[in-house]
Amino acid sequence: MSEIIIDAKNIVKTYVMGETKLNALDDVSFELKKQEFVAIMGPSGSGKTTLLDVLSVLLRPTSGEVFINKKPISKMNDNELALIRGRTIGFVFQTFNLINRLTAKENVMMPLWFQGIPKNKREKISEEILTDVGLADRMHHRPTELSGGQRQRVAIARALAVNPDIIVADEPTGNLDSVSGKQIMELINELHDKKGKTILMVTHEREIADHAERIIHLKDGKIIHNETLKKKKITEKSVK
Amino acid sequence: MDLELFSRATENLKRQKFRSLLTLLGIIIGIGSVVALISIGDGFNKSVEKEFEKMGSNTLIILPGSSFMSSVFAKLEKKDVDRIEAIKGVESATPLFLASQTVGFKEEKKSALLVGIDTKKQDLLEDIGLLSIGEGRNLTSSDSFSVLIGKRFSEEKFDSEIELKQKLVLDGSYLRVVGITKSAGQSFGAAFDSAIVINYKTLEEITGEELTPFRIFAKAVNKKEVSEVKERIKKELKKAHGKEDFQIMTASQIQESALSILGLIQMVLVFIAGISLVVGGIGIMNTMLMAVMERTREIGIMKAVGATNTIILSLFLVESGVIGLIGGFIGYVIGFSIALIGGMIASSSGINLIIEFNPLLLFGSLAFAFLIGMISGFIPARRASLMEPVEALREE
Ligand SMILES: Nc1ncnc2c1ncn2[C@@H]1O[C@H](COP(=O)(O)OP(=O)(O)O)[C@@H](O)[C@H]1O
Ligand SMILES: [Mg+2]
Repeated sequence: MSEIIIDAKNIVKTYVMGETKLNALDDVSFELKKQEFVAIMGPSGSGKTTLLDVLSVLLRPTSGEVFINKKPISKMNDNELALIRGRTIGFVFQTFNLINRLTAKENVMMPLWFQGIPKNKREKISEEILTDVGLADRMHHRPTELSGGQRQRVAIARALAVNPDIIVADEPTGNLDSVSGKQIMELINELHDKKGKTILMVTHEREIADHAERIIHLKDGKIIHNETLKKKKITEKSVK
Repeated sequence: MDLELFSRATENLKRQKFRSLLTLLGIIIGIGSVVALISIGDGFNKSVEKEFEKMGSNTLIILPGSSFMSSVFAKLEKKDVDRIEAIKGVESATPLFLASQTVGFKEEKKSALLVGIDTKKQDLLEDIGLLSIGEGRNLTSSDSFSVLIGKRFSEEKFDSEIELKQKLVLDGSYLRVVGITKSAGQSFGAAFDSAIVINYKTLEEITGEELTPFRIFAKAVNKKEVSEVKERIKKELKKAHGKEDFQIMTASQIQESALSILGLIQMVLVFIAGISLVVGGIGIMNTMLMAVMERTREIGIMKAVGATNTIILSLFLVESGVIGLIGGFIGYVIGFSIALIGGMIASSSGINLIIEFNPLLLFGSLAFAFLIGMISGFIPARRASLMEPVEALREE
């Protein structure tokens, strides 16, 4: 089988609020293989976002260890984690998290800037990707001038800009109507099937989760079920 | 990145024009006053230097009184001039006398300053740059009721301009104007510029008073010997007067003290400018703290998509540096304009102030302002760089 790209061992994330302590994640272990498509499901407050943030090295766990390509993140400083995120992980959020004063193209160019890629190259890459996601005619629009579905496309384009191995999406359709939600899911499927991206997606909708190959069920910070869906095959042949 | 950091920073600044402008005020005032001060101070320095260059570094000035305070009571004697001239190393010495009298010209009568000189010694006065003739001729030893007048005196004293060969009336005697001195823009010739220069013997005759020198100018034979000559004069006059009721200054000494007073004034003003820079710095810090707060979510996004703490830090540092830089530039332009205007006003009132563009001052103040901006922005920038991405993203 494919190699393990993210390996989380005995993750605990504790939030302390005054007197009370809350284990948002309570001894979670999880492996994500290259080119897998995994969905994380569970009721609201079950720790889905927290788990996704820890797995995508956006958040350090209270205890436990996360290995990215076999390297433990506890040994890395914040700058190194930022570099890992910048190179290997693309983020898609429920609320899009685009920068409103920048145009679509500029939003997509930003992660490339952090990678030190020269401006003309950044522009070229951004234009190509925005065209790929169907926004060729919206490049110079600001997020506020775009529909929800279009904004999420911009966000996906931004996630793809640095050509990362992993796409991490937290309820990517949560703020969208069903039609655009469907289109976004088609796009994400395509990233997995055609581009060979590893996908890690949080959702609380079964219908959305069904696009994945595997579903992790979370409840009260624990994995209660690891469900493998048979309907899809990993299409390793289509990888670049 | 490097240069792009600048364009990002200016982009961000453009969005908050008004607040940035307010923030700039402290820096503008601070840098502006520093630039104005330094420019004017330099101009003054140059003028003083020029003045003394002309005067020559082998000039000594003897004035009555052991300090400026007691000069009212102490008096120099005419004989002192001979005493000084007799001293080894002194080439020549000459006294100046001062009197104020009512002088008439045509229908008008006005109180005027009269400077009595020894007409055998104008060459010394010319030599040390105190007196130079613009029109007409200098006085000769045979002149008694012939006088020189200052350029300024000729133009401004009376309603109509006084011309060569015209006559002034002093206590019933006629004074014939035989020469007009060159306009002396500088401080030392200024007394001549707005006065009547007359043979001191005539002055004594007219006033009926025995005058005592209010200054004696002496010239040392050798520049290198000035301080020895000074000591000798001091010893000699002390012996003659029985006490040290006089002061001897050398040109370089006067220059030094003039410059040190100027330096002191400058220091005080620079201190004030410093305070406004500190205030400006605090303003920048405040603006940047607000900017960081407002852009918390943006910082979170940038971090999520791969911005390191270092990048965030430099982004905000450059932004605050650019605020400082803009303030510094505006401040420089205003400060230098003030200096230029000051120079023009000074020149029109007879003080020669040479205001020159100094590239070092421009770059120095820009660099300084940028640095102040960066220093002020450090705490906010650091706060931004240390933000937890997840928490920053949660911010609305
Ligand atoms: N920064 C935080 N401080 C305190 N509690 C938090 C914080 N983030 C999340 N939580 C809590 O942790 C639990 C899991 O949150 P989250 O991972 O966002 O759940 P989900 O995404 O499944 O809705 C929730 O009870 C939430 O209130
Ligand atoms: Mg969530």
